[in-house]
Amino acid sequence: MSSDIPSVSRRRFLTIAAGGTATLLGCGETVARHVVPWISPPPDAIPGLSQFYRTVCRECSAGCGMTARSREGHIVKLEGNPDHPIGRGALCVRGQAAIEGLYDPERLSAPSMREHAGEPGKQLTWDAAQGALTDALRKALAAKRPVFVLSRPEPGAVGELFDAWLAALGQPAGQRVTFDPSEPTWIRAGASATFGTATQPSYDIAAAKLVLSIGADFLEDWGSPVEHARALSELRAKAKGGDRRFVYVGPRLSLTAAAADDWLSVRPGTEIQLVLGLARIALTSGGAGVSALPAATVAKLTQALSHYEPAAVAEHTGLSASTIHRLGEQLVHARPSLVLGPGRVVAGRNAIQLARSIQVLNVLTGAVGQTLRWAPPPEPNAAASARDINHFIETARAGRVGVLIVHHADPLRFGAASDAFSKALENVDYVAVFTNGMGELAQRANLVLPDHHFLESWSTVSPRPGVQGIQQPTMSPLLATRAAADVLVEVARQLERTDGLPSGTFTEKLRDAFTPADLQRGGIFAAHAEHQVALGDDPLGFALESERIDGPQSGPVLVLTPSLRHPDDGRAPGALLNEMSDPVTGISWSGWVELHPATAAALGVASEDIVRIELAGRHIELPVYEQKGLRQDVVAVGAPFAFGLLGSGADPALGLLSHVAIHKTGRSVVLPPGHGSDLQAGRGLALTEAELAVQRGDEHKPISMYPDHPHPTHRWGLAVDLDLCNGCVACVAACQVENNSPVVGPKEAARGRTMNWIRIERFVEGSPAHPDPRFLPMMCQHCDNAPCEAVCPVYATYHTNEGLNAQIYNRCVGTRYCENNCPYQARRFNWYDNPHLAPTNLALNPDVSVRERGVTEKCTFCVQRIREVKEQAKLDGRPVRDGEVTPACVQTCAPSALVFGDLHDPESRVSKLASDERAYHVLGHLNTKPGVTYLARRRRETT
Amino acid sequence: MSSSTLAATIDRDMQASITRTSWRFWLGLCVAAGFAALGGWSWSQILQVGFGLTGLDTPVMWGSLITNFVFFIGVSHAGTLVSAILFFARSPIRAGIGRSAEAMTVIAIMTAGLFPIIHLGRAWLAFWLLPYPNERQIWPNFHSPLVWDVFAITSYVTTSALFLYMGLLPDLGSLGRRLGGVRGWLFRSLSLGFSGTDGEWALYEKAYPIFAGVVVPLAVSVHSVVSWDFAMSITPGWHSTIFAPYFVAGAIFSGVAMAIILLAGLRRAYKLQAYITEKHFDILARLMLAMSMIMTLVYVTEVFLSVFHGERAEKDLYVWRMVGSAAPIFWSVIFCNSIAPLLCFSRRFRVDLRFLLVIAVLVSFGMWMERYMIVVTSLSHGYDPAQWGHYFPSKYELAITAGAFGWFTMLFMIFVKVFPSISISETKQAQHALTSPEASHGASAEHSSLEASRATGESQA
Repeated sequence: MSSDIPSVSRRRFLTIAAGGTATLLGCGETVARHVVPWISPPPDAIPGLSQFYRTVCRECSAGCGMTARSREGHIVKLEGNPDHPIGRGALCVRGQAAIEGLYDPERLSAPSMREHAGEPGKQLTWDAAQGALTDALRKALAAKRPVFVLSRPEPGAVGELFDAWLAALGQPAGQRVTFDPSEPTWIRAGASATFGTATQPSYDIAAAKLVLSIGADFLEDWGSPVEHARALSELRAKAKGGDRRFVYVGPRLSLTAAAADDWLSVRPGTEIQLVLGLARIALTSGGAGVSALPAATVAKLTQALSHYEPAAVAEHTGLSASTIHRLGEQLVHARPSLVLGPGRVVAGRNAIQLARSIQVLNVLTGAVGQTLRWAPPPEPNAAASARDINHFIETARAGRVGVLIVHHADPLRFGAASDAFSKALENVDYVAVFTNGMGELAQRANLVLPDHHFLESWSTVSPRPGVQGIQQPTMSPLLATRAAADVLVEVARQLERTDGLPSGTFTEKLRDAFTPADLQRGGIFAAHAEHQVALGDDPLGFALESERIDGPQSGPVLVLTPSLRHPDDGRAPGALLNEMSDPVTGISWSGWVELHPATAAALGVASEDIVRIELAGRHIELPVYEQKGLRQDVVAVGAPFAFGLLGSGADPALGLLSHVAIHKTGRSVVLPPGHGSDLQAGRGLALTEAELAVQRGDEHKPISMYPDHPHPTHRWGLAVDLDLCNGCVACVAACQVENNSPVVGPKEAARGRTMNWIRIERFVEGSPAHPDPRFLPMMCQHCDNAPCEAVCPVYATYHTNEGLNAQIYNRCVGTRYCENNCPYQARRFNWYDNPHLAPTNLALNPDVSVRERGVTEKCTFCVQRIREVKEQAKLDGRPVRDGEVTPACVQTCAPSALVFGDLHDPESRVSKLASDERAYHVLGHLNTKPGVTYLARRRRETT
Repeated sequence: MSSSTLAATIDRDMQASITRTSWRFWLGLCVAAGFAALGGWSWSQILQVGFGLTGLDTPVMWGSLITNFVFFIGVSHAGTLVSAILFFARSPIRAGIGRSAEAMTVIAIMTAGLFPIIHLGRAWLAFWLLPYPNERQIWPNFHSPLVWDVFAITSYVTTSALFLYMGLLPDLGSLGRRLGGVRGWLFRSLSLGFSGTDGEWALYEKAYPIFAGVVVPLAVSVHSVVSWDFAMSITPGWHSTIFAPYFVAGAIFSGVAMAIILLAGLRRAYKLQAYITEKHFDILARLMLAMSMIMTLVYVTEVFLSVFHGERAEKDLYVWRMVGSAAPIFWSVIFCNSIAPLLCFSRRFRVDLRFLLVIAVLVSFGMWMERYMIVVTSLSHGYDPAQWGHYFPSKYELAITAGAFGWFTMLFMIFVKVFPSISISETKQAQHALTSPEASHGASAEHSSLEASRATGESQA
């Protein structure tokens, strides 16, 4: 050994090293942290790999199939189930946001009880709570007072269990009632008058050559928004030759109306005259269904419709006679056609008559059997046989009710129903509420029992015959909750009344009821027999109600508009849903009233000024939004914001309500829109085919001094078809959940500081008489020639060899130059640290970094999903297949407006779309060479 | 009076400015330091809580902080540039204003240099912009104008500081020999042993022009680089080839205005009427007027170019700036920078300090607003109308802006208290040239006027 190395013995070196290590260890964190919360992990769980469970979304009564993605035992993302006929892989914004209900910090975890209404609740153990419920039931049974179950629509196993349980307790049939504030009840009521059976329809929108919607906002509520959005998109995709049309009739340019080729508005309340006028044309011009009708029925119809020649209808409705005539002729000759409706915005006091007229019209045009199928009427005692909430209200009014079991329903939140229901409650001895959160009804209940979240419990959901979705638990319960069905079975056992109830628990029964294949598919789906309906002898034998709208017959008419962003079961929307912009107005976090600009000007108010709306002694105050797409004689309020205005007895599902008075208050607020101008200022961002042709003529070929980026293997790209995008914002919620984007709250949102990586820009072009709404999904364009990349001083953003514009959060110092230089404004800055407080932290996607304050972020094309697929392909020894990578936004896009893939592969779907003749780049003249291609909207003519 | 007694007078006056300290100085210093502390506190809040405390939001990601940066870089310009140019022109007025102008440069750039750091989302990682060897083997992105900025500013601050220091050497030497105590020791140490020998002077005379020669092109390049922070982007309102001359001209303009304000304050505070004369202000006012007219030309050219621009967004932006909701900003800029300085055509406004000061303050304000207009309005009215937005500085940003002016004033006050604010050696040279036998009779008259104005100044005090 040479002498210039200091002589340190091995022993001495180890001593020093050990001392140093001990010192360093002493500096470290002393708190033990659970990286994986399992002592002995389940055999099929591999940390770092996702598991997927099929279940059913319960956020509304549509019953879309759902796939829950689990990581390390926690659900981190919800997506649609492609094998489920409802939704076929897509979810709406509410379905995407359902995960925040699971991890809601305010979810109830222990039962509580109160002796008298109004007292604060006392917590108690589950055994004590079940004992209390048993005692209450025993008392009611002894006193022979009826027991009711009130629930959200439960068309499946839980509903059947409620029926069986009530039967076991010796209760007569019909004491299970449901409450669904958005169900168009008038359709079933109309069907029983028209056809003699209370059957429900299913629609084949995609097969129709002409779809006419009478106020049915089927993209936002009206049954099954995701399914209908898929179908409308298929209709659009087929409409290349322009032989398929969608016409919307309603007072407001809603999301659904914006997706239509033509929007017609008639005087509020006169929709029925239009429908009857069209029926007259169908009858006289040889509608496809007329020849099959008995002569007596035709004679009756001819007589009933004799007054509705186009000129007379034109006078009532305000449309021109020629428009009515043309629409009628189109309806007759487009075979098959389909008339949908009525929807909430046109459903006034004559809703059932309107529904009957539409049903007759569909028979005359031959739509029944082609695009419209009536389901077999439900079996007696089947799950769908639950009765309306009014049955409970009437019973309670007549005499005392022993026990009311409430299961995820809160009529008190819905002004229209609350008065009568509230009075009825006074006649109930004992109220027990199964719920996830403390709603208004729970605060009046004697016993509050925290139920599992739907993602933690078993049920089946059959929204229509032939579809049985299996709702299975996707994770073990987060809190000490119990499944409502299990509690009821246990209580029945304690009461020794178990006839017809499962011998074990309800959970055990369902767990053993399905094969693994059923569970993996997410349900049992079969074709169902069609029910043959026939018109009654005198299908239109009703006198038109003269007063279709309440209130003093002056002033604007209030219509209630649907909202995808507000749950039906009375829960307040969670933060994520609240922060989603309303697709029609762009507003988040707040209620608003829509006024036509001329109405607003006459009142002396502008957007964001607060007005007071008065109706029969009640009033609400809301900020104004000036809506160009609204009739001047109408004011529109989102249904959830108008409940304070509604008196007793009104059906909560009705939307066309009453004449109201509006007054200026002089106050104003800042609405959180995050939206600048709603005109494109000639920038040509969201284009139609015709505009694109003009713009192409002006374009210069961009040149560059630099060579293009090489993309040796992939060039990821996205195509956005503006003809298909309906602006529903589901992609925004999906992106936010997938990528751990924080919710910033109303104050910050009002400043435009929302953190979403994708947004739907909304422009309203056209004249005030013919507003032309355009939706433009905008996200990072992953430019080949990215303005953001050159200006970053620290290489925090750079171009990958797969064409992604990558952002390295750890390297970002926060100059924000990239954000200034992005012409698409696709980048977002972390203004604050965003704490993800327990238990919401469990919803964080472990594959995506949580960003710290001071760094910039943006859409990554879900690079974590690209990597996952590439790794799997590598393991399988095969190339990545087209369509295998689906970013969160693409995955949930119900109209399939977004297509992702490899632009390098000329055979991929996205490549073909990118070379479509409708393809263009937004702000392409800046030579940014984006990876996102937009397809111009096809022509939409106005009639 | 012999030239030696004159030299003694100059020595005495200069010495007085650094040795005699009134309570007014301390009060002023406290106020300035208080504002600086307020600004520092506001920044500490932003560091702790996040940039959400500013008024920034999409689409305006740069606001008053960057405005301050560009403004103070601009202010830094006139100083060194004017001083160096006057040096090459062998102008006698340089003696009176050169030193404080150079000090203003260094101090302004010390202020401006803070802002690129303050405005970072993660200011604690600002050193990542420097090209230093590191284990990750990452260098800064030399494509980015922000990296050019780092080099431009560090070069400029180094050169300007050396230029100032070089000019100080003879004074440090002579004062160091005469003063005792800490200050004497400090001056002697800093003077690098400059004792005024002929050999030293000969070397000094050779070295000084080199610095002056380096400073002039550097000053032009620095502000050109700062302008490229904007011009290299594709944002409408920024992406323009006119920006480099536009920013350099604006910088000199605002620098001259700031120099007028500081010199007027200095002259009043230290009774330097004998050294900083009406003539100095007259010449500075003429320079300001000339720069104002250049700026007007630039404004007109810019509007002309944009309104006939092929890019729709560019055209819309300028129309919106002139007649839209940003119009008050635009027209206040035009008033302060193009119209108000026209008063300097009249000699009365150039030599009457009350008027000149008002004009200079207006120009300073106008130039701040001009930078605000360039930074903010361009961003708020970009390519995507759906993302158009507004910006107004939050109270934290306003406090930091006030803090910047406090910091600037505080450093300047400390400088003129510690170091002679007028070059003693150059003043002596200038006076010597005037009183030497070759000089004309008129020159002695001017010399006696110096004495007279000294007397006036003292009686005023």
